[in-house]
Amino acid sequence: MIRLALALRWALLRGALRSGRGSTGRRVGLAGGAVVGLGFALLAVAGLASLRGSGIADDASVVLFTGLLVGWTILPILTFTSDDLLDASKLALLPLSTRDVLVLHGVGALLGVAPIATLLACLGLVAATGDSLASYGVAVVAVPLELALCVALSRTTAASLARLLRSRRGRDLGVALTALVAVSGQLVNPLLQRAGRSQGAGHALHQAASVLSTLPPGLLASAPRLARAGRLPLAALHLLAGAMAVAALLALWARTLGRAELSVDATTSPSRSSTGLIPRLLTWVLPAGRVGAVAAKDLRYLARDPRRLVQLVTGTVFPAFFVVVVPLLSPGGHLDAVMVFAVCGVAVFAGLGGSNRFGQDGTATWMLLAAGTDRHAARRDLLGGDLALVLVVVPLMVVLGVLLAAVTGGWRYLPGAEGLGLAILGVSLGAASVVAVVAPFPLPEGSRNAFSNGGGGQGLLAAALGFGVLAVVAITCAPLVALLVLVLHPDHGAPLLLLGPLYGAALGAGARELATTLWSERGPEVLLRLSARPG
Amino acid sequence: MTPDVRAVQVRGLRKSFGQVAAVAGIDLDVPRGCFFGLVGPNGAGKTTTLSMATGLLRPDAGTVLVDGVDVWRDPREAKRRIGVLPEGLRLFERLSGRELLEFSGRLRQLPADVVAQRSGELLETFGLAGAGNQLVVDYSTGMRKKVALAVALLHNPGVLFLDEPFEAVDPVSARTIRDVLTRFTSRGGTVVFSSHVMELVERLCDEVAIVNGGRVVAAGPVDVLRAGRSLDDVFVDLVGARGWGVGALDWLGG
Repeated sequence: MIRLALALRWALLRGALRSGRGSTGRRVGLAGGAVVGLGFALLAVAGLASLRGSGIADDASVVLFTGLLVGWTILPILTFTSDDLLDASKLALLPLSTRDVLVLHGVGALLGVAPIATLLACLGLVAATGDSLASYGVAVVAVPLELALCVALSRTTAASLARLLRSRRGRDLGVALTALVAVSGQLVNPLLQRAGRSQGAGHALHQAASVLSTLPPGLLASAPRLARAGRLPLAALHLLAGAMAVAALLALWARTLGRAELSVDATTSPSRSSTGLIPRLLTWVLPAGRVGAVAAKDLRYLARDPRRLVQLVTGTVFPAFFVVVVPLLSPGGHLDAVMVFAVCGVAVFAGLGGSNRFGQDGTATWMLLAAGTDRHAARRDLLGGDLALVLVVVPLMVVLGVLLAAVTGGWRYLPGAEGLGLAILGVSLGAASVVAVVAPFPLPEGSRNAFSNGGGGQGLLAAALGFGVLAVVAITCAPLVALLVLVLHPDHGAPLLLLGPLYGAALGAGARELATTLWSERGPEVLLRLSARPG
Repeated sequence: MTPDVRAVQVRGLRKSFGQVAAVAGIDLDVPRGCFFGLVGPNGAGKTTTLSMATGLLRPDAGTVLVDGVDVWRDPREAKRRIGVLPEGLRLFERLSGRELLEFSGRLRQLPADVVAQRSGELLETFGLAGAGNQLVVDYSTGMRKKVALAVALLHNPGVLFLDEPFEAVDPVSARTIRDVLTRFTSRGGTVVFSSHVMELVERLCDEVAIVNGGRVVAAGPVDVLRAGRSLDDVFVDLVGARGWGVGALDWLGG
């Protein structure tokens, strides 16, 4: 059964990398994962080895062991639908005992990038803590126990969440979590760098380690230190506690597995309270006809489709975050002005969000076409999409501007920044609506990657068009920027509060007229480009 | 037969994708109040034909008249008279069934009270009243077909174009759909639907067109076309079936 498990995992790995639809992406993904995972592991090994015998190495290994276990616990939520050795129901039709399934899933989990990287990182512990035969011996036992702990907890999580993860809600959760994990690394990095330079990092590490060393992974990680200090019986006790934790998890896993194998997919479709298409709060804001329908549909999607939400958040909030964080790390200059004008960046990226609105709707765009897309209707479709973005982004810009002004004290820049931001929003929405009709591209349906945009050169096309929109915004808004900087001065930008929205609305409306003509004439062609198979 | 009693008139419809001619010159005449079946094997050009007839796919050549209105010259007027149930295209799945109907009604600028009343009745009729507030993404295939059909009926069109309305639908849902469509035609509505389930076509349709390789190979009233045989036999004769090799599958059931 163990050989079968390894062979099955190997076959699954090879099958996933075979040529075919999406195989390039999977290969790149695996290679990237291998580089990142093994690179991280080697760094951990090298780092721990260089700190050999010091108190920091002991603390770091406790945090490392706990971190690895947390990572393994989240992993099944991200990979549940793509990893065939996670879902017990896939083996339900075969005449296998629970023990067989345990072996298949457990041993299968030991082959792959994640387990090898984990093993490598754990070996860092041996390198870091050993200076006597006893401490080496204890570390050599602790490492496999940690790996077993990771696998057992990860598989127990998968089995107990199986019903949820198999459902649409579980997939949504996976999409959102994957995006969050991917992006949070980018965000945490500059903050960690800053923290690393400051005093007290070692102290914080020690405090974290002293708390975490009471939990099973911490117990295992701290065992070699005890052996080194000559407290061998206590070290053995730590190992025993770790082994008991593994045994308890295995028992729990076996119990949940039986249920997971038999449980049918959760329908998880709670009836929503009937408020109608248009959210109740917005009944006075959204117009009754087609504009309101399209806007309400887009707002509902923002709330219900994790990919839409992730795209909006990464497109608006994170760029703003960077504008705020980067100057913080390198102080000097007009920090307050730079930060308050971050709202303009949010405006640009929000506008870009509308540049593949038909691609986001996918083939459901037929409903707009079937209802007729003469000039009036076409204009309403585009207006509705823009209205939804304006309703979300303008409050965001106001809140962000006020927050930044409050933090930096740059209140005097706020009117100019908001005015310019509204002008930019208007122009970029208009330019994006033209791009949306000229170059719609389908997003892979059912993809778990919220950032995926179809591949096949489409990422490049999307980037090029994005730069096109940015260029249009830069050129058309240059006069306003000149006015603000040369004539009014950035801290006296109040006139822009009126001028900016008017300017943006006028230019945006001009661009939207062009887009209206194109959408009313090219509707079927747009739908054809969004259809996977023609006809 | 004068042109004004025809609900749908298709002439010389053509569409190629690259080198492949999906539809190579199709003519159809569908009388008003008729239950019209478009049958053919997979890849015969049924979906392409229906897409072009409903204004969703631009033809390379040919005309489509619905109630005498040219679908491609006057789409605004034509689309008011057409209800569509496409195949292989998505719905706005993150809306609930009720919201989807409201969305479609608002797109067509129907008054809100009319939309609310018709949505309620349609959901009730299709047995979706209890699922009206669930997201369409959580619907089964049969429920999706039914809610899509409700969307197609909402604006009370004169002609329905339905692509595989009975595909992957459970028997109870199929019966409901059939009853609604029969009622629709009995009141003067016209239904054009594609299918490859011959028994169904034979039972439901007044007239039928058999399509193969992008062309109509036979068309007319079902009884005339059958000439005493089953429609299935006629179809297989016209379209051609592959024979089995001698000795193939001899082991099966042995």
